[in-house]
Amino acid sequence: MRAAILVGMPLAAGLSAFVTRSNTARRTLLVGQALAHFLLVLSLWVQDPGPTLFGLFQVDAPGLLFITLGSLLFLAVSIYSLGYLGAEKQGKREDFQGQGAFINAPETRFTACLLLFESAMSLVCLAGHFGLMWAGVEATTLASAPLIFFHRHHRSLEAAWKYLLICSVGIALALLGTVLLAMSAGGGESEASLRLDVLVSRAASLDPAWFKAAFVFLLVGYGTKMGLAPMHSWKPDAYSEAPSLVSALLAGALCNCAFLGILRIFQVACATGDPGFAQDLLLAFGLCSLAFAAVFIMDQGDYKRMLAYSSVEHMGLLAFSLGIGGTAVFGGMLHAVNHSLTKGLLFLLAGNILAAYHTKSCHDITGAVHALPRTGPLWMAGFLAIAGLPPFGLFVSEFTILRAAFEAGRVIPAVACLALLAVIFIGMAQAVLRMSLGPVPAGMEGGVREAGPLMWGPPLALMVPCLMLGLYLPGPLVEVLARAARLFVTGVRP
Amino acid sequence: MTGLLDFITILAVLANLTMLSVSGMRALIRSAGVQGLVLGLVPMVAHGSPTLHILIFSLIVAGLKGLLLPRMLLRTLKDLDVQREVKPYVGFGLTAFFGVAGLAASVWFCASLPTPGGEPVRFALSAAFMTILTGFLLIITRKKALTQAVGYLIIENGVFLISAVLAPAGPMLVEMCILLDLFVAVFVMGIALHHINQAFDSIDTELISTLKD
Repeated sequence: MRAAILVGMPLAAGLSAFVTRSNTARRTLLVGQALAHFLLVLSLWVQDPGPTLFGLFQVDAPGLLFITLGSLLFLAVSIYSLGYLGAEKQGKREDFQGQGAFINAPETRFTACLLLFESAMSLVCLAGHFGLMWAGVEATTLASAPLIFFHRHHRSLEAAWKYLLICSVGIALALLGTVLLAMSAGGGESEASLRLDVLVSRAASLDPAWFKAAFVFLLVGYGTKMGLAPMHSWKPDAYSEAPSLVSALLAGALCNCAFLGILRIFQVACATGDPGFAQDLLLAFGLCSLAFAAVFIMDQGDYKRMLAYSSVEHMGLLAFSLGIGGTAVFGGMLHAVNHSLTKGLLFLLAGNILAAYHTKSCHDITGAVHALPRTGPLWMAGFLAIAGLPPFGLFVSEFTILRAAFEAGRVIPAVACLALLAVIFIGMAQAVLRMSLGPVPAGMEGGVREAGPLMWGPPLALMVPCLMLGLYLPGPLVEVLARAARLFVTGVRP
Repeated sequence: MTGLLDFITILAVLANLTMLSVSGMRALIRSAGVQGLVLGLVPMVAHGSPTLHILIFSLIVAGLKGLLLPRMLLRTLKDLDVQREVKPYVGFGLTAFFGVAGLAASVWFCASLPTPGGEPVRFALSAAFMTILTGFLLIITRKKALTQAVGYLIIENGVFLISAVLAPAGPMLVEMCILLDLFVAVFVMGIALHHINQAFDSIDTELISTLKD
């Protein structure tokens, strides 16, 4: 029941946002819905409602983890959006780079699509059926494409079209994978053949040839949506052209949804008792993503694109952790949590920097720490967190993954991973340090262009768990992470 | 009923070849519609004794893929008031040749698959892989953004054919969610095309390529 409410409530709120004329009422609806959704999600931690609606919905450990992250991030973003939408000017205006005028899309549509996005995201996290999960992932694409096109500028239009087309075609391959999965389960006999619990319990009897084909298509399909290289080409465009709060949602919540799709099929692969080929593929995609990220982060001139490539990097690390298996999976789960929080807050801060400096180029920004007394230091701290330095959470999760890799005797992949992480660190450090330090530009002394508390409060609030997870893991979280990791028993590989 | 399945499969293959070789946008959308319409009938034909559930599902799919979506695309085309030609990067003859080569490869590939249901199902499966390939070819080799939307629709047609001959119909709720997604996808693409046409005065994808590293 609660699962159905978590999907239905934002859906209903989104549809009513389309027809709500008053700005105040609509913004109240957005934040109120986000808060109610988050509280309801927290109640899932207290008591598991069990499978509902003929087993189409379920709450398992990875789903619970990701819906909590998504809901928390959505709450932060909805509060940020109050400040953002309040500050957005109406009517036609020039863009910062002087490449043409644009107007914003109607705020009704923007708010409605945000809410529909939350509904689709909840559907993905709670679906216990591969077909339903597919429908949810495609729905997230369709709800978020209009969000990317909020500023009706030809650049954001290009980004939205590429996103819509590449992801839809990618997801069509995942649908093909889903069909092949039903085939591996014996095809014609029963309607329940795509339910996750049924597939896991009958994994030993799956046809291996069909299952391998299914796994490949699902991995490529959801991998496109997740942004694994070389299917990541939409990602830098979409993240850099979308409003920053939308990028925060895409990077923090949507990537996890797509990753969940891969986790589900990997769970079935583990249950078949022979996940070796699946792990090899994941390892290859993971290292490939790290390599692409390393190449493009070096000398990256646009800080939002830089964050997008950093997202490719971390998605690669998640795939890498599954490829290693064992304790690395626990690290991977923790990494997904840390990455969502950190990347979400970084994109929100990028929005503040863009609003203050009127440029997306790393080269034209200096002295952010002094010019923006709240955003600047947080940006610097966020960089240290995303680069995996102690005492932040990402350090712990990256360390866990790499240690597991060395312990499992996968020395070559682990060393390659470390080397690529080092290159990415140098690339990001160059850009971020230049932006943060140095002289304050004229006219920006004393923090006169700093955004209001609605726009630095949410990233600050997200920074708290980011830092805390590096120093202390709360008991219930460890319990859920361990439960999630236990779903992926990979055995010992030579 | 297997004769009927063969007949539908042949129609689907012919539609693919037509789509790869026509230069008119209207003919392209119409062929995609005809393909969707006949493919909608496959669930009825593939199951010996169709239940009411399968009957309703078939009609909905045929109506959506055969009538509603092509109409939406034709309307978009009319409103855009663009040149009605698809503008290829690669010539029509060459893409049609790729289509035939793709069919041959699919037949060869499907011969090695352990398919249940014998020859007609195997042939339908080859046609489905060819259809997916046709969709990809159209997306890659044509310049107009509208053709890319049609290509997406054709890929979905191919996936649908595979699921119709191989997998059972899932729970109604899931099937409906998937079809709703397809409908909304084409709808959103239509809106995006309007904006592209307004912003660039054209829907050539060559013009929308400013974002890169």
